[in-house]
Amino acid sequence: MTRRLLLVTLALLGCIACASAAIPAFPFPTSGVTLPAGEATLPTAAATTAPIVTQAGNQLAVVSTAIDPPVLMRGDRATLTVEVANTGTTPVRASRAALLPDGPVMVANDPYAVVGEIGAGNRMTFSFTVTAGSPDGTAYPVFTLAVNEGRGIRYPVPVRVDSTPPAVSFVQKPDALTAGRGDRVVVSVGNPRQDSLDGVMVAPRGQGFTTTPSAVFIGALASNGQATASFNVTPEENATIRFEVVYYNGQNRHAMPVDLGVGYGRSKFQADLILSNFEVEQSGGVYRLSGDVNNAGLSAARSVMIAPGEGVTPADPYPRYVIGSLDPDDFASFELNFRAQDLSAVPLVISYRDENGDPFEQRTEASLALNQTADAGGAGGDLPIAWIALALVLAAGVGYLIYRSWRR
Amino acid sequence: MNDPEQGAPVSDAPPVPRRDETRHPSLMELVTNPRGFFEALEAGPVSLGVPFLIVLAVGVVGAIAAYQMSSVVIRALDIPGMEGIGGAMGAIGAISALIATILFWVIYTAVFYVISMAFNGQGDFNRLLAYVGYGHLPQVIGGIVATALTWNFVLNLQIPSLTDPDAIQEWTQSLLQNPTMQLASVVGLLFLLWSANIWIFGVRTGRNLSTRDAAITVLVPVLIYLLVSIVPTLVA
Repeated sequence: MTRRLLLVTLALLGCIACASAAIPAFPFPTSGVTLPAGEATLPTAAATTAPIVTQAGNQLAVVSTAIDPPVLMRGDRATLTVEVANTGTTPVRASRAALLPDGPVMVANDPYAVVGEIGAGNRMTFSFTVTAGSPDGTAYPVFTLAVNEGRGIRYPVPVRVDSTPPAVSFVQKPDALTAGRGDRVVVSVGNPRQDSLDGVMVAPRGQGFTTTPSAVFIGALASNGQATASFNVTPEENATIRFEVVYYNGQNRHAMPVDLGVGYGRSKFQADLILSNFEVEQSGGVYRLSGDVNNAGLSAARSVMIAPGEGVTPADPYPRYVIGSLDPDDFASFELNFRAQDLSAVPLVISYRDENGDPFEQRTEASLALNQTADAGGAGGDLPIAWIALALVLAAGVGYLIYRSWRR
Repeated sequence: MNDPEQGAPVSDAPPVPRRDETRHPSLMELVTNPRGFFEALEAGPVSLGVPFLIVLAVGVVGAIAAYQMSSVVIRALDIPGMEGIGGAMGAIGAISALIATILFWVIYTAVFYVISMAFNGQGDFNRLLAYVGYGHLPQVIGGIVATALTWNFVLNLQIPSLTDPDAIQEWTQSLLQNPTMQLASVVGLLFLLWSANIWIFGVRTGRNLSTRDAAITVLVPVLIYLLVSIVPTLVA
């Protein structure tokens, strides 16, 4: 019986020895470990599942650290995770785990006042909430794990604070705003940071304008990545146009407003309709105004229509005149009929649309006394010089005869 | 006693030229010397023939101008049932102008006659009527010039097609405001003043007034007529 028990014990020891020889050794960091630098050394999760190699004595070691988000911006909150393993062969009773602040990194909570026992070859994960202040840079908050026998660990965890915002610029925007006209605005969002941004969205802000679409969602934007958002902006009078880039760095929401920076005025590419070559005739109280309309702008004008303005009554056969499209440097003739009383000039309204279908309106005037010709059938007409000369001769002759009759 | 058979003794002296009391002064003298013209007429009997012809000439010239304008206005009317009556309306306008001219001849004379009574004027109405008729002579010339102006205006006129009575009235008013038509009015005014000048001497002689009283008698109604009829047209 004793002999059989001895054989079983030897067999078990042999199995354990074989298993130890087959598993590779894992280099655990110690308190004298070289601090990792850069994002590559900061895994986003302590996902190691390698078995713990134990050896005689009580040994606690930090096997991994992680922080989310990897790079903090000023004011951000992050979750810092430290994983500790007991590489000894006997359990270790830890009394307290804490994270000590350093520089701009503050610790928001202290959840591990009592830790308890860590079994031999076991792991334990500690998570802390940290906040980033200023200035930017790399801080080293220290993770401490106190053990009753006085063999605890202190482990500085590198935390990078970088407040560089996304790079936002306008790839395309109008040179001037015009009320009622739609213009294309393209916003470019670039990520110069060392970590990715999530939930990136560009939305217009302000008042007095409409956009299509109302917002553009870009989503995740990798480090050194770039994306664009295109809008069609139609302002009203006195609109305030801004765009806001909203993004998330980890759990932290950030918003970055950007002014469009374009004032109201006439676009240098806008159609510019000029009326000229007026001819005015009057017939029975009805004026007939004809002339030319020229497009002196750099854009085509669509659906061009000319009509009399306020104060006059349109009349047949041309109460208004539709020209249609007018390309740059092109011209067309028009004719209007209207009734007017006690007016020296008739107001004219030129309405047209641009390529996007946005309506525009120009107002001008045409003198009613400008071209009243002698053959006009009304109050107009130039008096021939010959008639005036004849009248003067007659007046002189009559005056002479009257004078002579009184002299006798 | 003288022998009847011997007859009257024959004088050797040359015959004295005897003034012909019935001599009618020329119309040129009316234009150049109206005072002498009417004084020459004063010695003879009253004759309304020549004055009537002068007034008739004024009326005919005015009738031609009225015919032109009436025809133009009728042609502008685009009212159903009014087609083809342009000629008739023109004739009505011409006859109206002719009758109005003759009527105004009598009215002017009556007005001068009544006003001159305030200055103790003495003279026959028919004689004054004749003298006022003679005074219409300048208006024949003025009428011809005004008719020529009106004719020139009508020839170059674009006649619209109007159906609205307000538009017709407005268009007619606009015709009178045309510079050519206003020049015609000025010419008529000029020759009316010339007639008034002749009428002063006619009233002076025919009603036996002083020149001052005759001028008042004539100029007051003439100026009132001008203010009421012609000046508003020119001002408008």
